[in-house]
Amino acid sequence: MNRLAKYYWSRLKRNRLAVAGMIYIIILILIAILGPYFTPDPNKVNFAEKNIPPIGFSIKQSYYDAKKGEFTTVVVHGNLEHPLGTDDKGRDLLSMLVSGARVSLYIGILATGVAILIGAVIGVSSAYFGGAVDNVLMRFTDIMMTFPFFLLLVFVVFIFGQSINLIILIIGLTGWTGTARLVRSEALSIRTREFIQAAIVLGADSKRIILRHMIPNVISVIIVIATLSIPGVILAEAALSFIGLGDPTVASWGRILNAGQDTLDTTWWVAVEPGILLFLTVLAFNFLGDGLRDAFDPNK
Amino acid sequence: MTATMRKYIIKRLIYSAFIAWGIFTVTFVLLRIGPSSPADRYLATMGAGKGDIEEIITALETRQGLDKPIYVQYVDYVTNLLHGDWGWSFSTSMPVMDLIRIHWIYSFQLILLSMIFAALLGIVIGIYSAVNQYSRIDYLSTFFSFVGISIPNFWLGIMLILIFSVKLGIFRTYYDTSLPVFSFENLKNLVLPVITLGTGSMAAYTRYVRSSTLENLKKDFVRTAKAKGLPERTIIWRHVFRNAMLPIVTIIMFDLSGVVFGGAYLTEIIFGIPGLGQISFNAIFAGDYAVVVAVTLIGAFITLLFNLITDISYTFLDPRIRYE
Amino acid sequence: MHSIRTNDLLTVENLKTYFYTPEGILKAVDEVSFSLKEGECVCIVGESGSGKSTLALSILKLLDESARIEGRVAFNGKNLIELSEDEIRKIRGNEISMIFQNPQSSLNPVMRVGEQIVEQMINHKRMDKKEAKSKAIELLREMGIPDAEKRFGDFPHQLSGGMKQRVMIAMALSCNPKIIIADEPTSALDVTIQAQILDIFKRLKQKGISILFITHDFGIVSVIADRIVVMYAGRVMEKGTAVEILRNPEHPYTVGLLDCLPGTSEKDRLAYIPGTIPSLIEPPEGCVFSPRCRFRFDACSKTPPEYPVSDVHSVACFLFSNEVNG
Repeated sequence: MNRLAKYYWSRLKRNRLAVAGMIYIIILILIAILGPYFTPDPNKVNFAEKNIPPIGFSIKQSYYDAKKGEFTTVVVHGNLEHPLGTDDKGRDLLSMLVSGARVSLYIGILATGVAILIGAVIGVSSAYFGGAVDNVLMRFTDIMMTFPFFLLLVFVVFIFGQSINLIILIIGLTGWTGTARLVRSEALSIRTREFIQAAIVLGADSKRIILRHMIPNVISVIIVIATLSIPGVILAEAALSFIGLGDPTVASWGRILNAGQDTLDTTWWVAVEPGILLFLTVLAFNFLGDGLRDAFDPNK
Repeated sequence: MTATMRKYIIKRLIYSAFIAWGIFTVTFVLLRIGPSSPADRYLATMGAGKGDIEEIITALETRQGLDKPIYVQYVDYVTNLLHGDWGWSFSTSMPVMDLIRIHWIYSFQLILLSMIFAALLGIVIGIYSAVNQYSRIDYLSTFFSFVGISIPNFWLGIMLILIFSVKLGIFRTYYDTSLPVFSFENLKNLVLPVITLGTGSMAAYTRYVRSSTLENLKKDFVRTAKAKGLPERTIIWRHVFRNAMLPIVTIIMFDLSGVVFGGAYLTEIIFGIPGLGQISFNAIFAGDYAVVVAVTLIGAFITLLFNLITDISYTFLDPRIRYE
Repeated sequence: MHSIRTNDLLTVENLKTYFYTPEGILKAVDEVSFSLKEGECVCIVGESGSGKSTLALSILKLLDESARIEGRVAFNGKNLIELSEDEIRKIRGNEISMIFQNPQSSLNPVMRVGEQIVEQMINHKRMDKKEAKSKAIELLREMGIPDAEKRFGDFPHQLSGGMKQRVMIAMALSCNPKIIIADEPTSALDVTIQAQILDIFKRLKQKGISILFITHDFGIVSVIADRIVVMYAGRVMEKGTAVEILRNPEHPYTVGLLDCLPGTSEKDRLAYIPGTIPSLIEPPEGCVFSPRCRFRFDACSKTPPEYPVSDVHSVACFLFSNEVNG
C-alpha cells in the first residue's frame, strides 16, 4: 500500500458506518463467489417442502389429504434445513438469494464499470479539448440526461431483448451522464492548476497529460461515483426484473422479489428477504461511498 | 425584467428547442435500429393465410411510410410529433394523444402529492437537523435519510401493502379507479403510493438541505445578522433559508425528472394506478410502440421544461446570476 | 497628556476565551484587560493569529459553543459575559454594533441592501417600514453613497467593495449605538478607499461614538487611535495612549512591529521580527513573546505582569520590572 492510500485509509477508518459498509460488501462478495458451492441447488423444485417459513416463524397451511378425502390444516415451522424458508415450489430461499447475490453484484459492478469508463472518457476529453468538442459532448450529455432513465431502460430492454449482458450494456450506455459531468468539472478544475499548466508549458503532448496527470487526479472522484453508482444499477436491474423484464434465465434478487409479490398473503418472506438484502446492500454502498467522499475531500 | 434577463430567457428557450430536437432524433434512431414491432409481425402472420407473408409486411411498411427514404421518414416523424399526431395505439384502439389525455391525471396527482410530501418534510427536517447539528435528532434524521435513500421503493411499496393492507387492513391493496380524482377517499387511496414514491426523495432532500444549511450557517453574513441582534428564527428563515434553498431548487428539479419518473412508473405498477407508467408498461408487453415512445417523449419534455423553469427561476431567486 | 477624563463606557477585565479542541485547550484570548471611554477610539493591534478578532467577537458573545468565555465585560452596569442570549441580543446592533473585515461576504447576497439595513431598526426600535426606510436612505447619504434612494434597492453584488463597507457602517449606525466594534474594516479595500472609510470613522468619533478598532496596520492606528492595546498570542503586551506608544514604544514586540513599517527603520532594508507566532494550543511557558525576543533573560520563564511606564502607559515585560532595573 502506498503512502497516499494509507493516508486515505486512515481517514476512512474514522467513519464507522463506512467501515461497516465495506465489511458487509466484502462478505457479500465472498458469499457471491463461494456461496453457491456450499448451498443446495437453487433451482431444485420440491413440492413436498413448499411454503416453509424462515426459522423462528410458523404458518398454518391447509392442503387436500387424498387418503382422508378432506382438507386438513397443519402448522408448518421453519427448520434448519431451509433457514430462510422455501417458496411456493419448495425451492430453498437461502440458495436462491446466494445465487441472486452473484447476479446482482455481477450486473452492478460490470454495468457501473462500463458507464464509468464512457463517462470518464467523455468527461476528460470534454475538459481537455474544450471548445467545440466540449460543446458537442456536453450537449449530447444534456440530451441523454433529459430522458427518463428508467423508462428508456425498460423500452430499450424490451426492444433489444432480455439478456443479462445486454442489460449490463444498456445500463452502461445510458448511465454515464452524471459521471461525464462530474469528471469534466473535476478535470476542468485540475486543468487550471499549476502542475498541469507547467506540463503544458514544458511541451508534454495531450495524451501524456491526460494519462499521466488528469486521470490519476480524477480517480478519487471516479472511485466515489462508482461506489455510489453500483447500488443504483443493482436497484435498476432489480426493478427491471421486478416488472418482469429481467433475464428470465437468471434468478436475481429482483426476480425473487417479483415472484414473492404474488404470494404476499401466504409466503410473505419470499418478498421480504430479497428486499432486505437489496436494502442492506444499497445502504452499505451508500455508507461506503459517503465515507470515501469525505476521506478524499481535502476540506474535511 | 431587464433586457439581459429577457435575452437570457430567449437563449434558454432556443437551447431547449435544440434539446427537444435531439430527443426526437434519439427516439427515431432507436425505433429504426430496433427490430420491427412484434405487433406488426403478429398482424402480418395473422394475414399470412391469405397471401405471402413478405408481401403483407411490405404492405404494412408502405402504410407506415417505411418504404420511403430514411430522411423523408425522419422529417415525417418530426412533423407528425409537432402537429400533435403521436400515432395510433392499436392495443387500446385509440389515438395515443387521447389515451394520454385520459391517463395523465393519475400520474400527475401521484407525483404532485409525493413531491409536496418529500419537499415539505425534507426541508423542515433538513433545516432542523442542521440548526441542531450533532443533536440526537440530527443523528436520527441522518441515519433515517440513509435508510430512506437506500430502501428500494418498489420493495417499500410491497412492504407497505403487506403491513397496512394485508396484515392490518387499513388501506386497500389496490388503487380504486372508480373514485373521483378530486375526493377525500381518493386521498386515502393515495397514502401508500405517495409514501412509496416520496420517501426516497424526502430522504435525499433532507440530506441536501441539511448540508446546504450547515454550509450557509457558517457564512459571514450569518455572523453579521447575529451581530445585528436579530432573533435566531429570523436569522434562519430570512437569511439562511433563502441562500440554502438555491442549490435545493436544482436538486428537486433534477430528482423530479430522474428518480421520480422511474419511481412513479414502478409505483403505478405496484398499486395498479392507471397513470402513464401503467399504460406504457402495458403497451410494452403489447408491443404498442407508439404509446411507449409517447410516454418516453413526455417524460423527456417534462424534464426539459423543469430544467428551463429551474434556470429561469434562478434569475429571480439568485440576484447574482450571470447571464451567459 | 492626551487623556480625556470621562467615564469608562466599556471595561474589559481579565477576559479569557478558550476553545476546547481535541488537540488541547486553545487560549485565543488570555487575561486581557482594557477600557473604552465615551467618544474615544481604542485600537487593538497585533499580527494575524494574535487573538484580536476573537477578542472582538467575545465582547458580544458571537463565538460558537466551542468557545468558553470568562472574565468581565462591563457595559451599562451589566457583565455582558453573563447575559442570556435574549438579553445580549438586545444589545447587539442596538447599543454595540459591529463591522467586519470583508464586506463582500458579510452582506447577505440574496437580500437587497436596504432590506438588510432596515431589518435591524424594525427589530430593535420597533420602527415601521416607511420610517426605517427613510432613516436608512439618510444614513446611506451620510456615508457618501450617491443616489441613495436607488442604491437602497440594490443587491450587494451591484456595489463596489467600498460601497459595501459604507452600507455595513450605515447598518451599524442605524440604531444609534454607543459603541462600534470594527474588525479590520479596511483591510479588504483598496488604499484610496481605505482613506475614505477611515475619514468616516473619524467623523463618527467626533459625533461621540466610541470605537473599538481592530487592526494590524500601525499606519491606520496613527490616524485614528486615541489609545492602543498591543496584543500578541492572545495576551496584552503593551497598552497606553497612542501618542506615547507611537513615540515611545517600550515592549520589544511593539518596537519590532513599528520597525517593520517601511520608512521607520533606520536601516535600508525592511525589518522583520524573526520567528512566527506560537501555537495558541500549547503556548510557551512564561512570556509568550520570549522565544522571539532579543532581550530574553531568566525572568521570562514566568508570565510578566503589567508594569507601568507612565500613568497612561504600561508594559507586560520583565525589562520594566523595578527589581530587574534595580
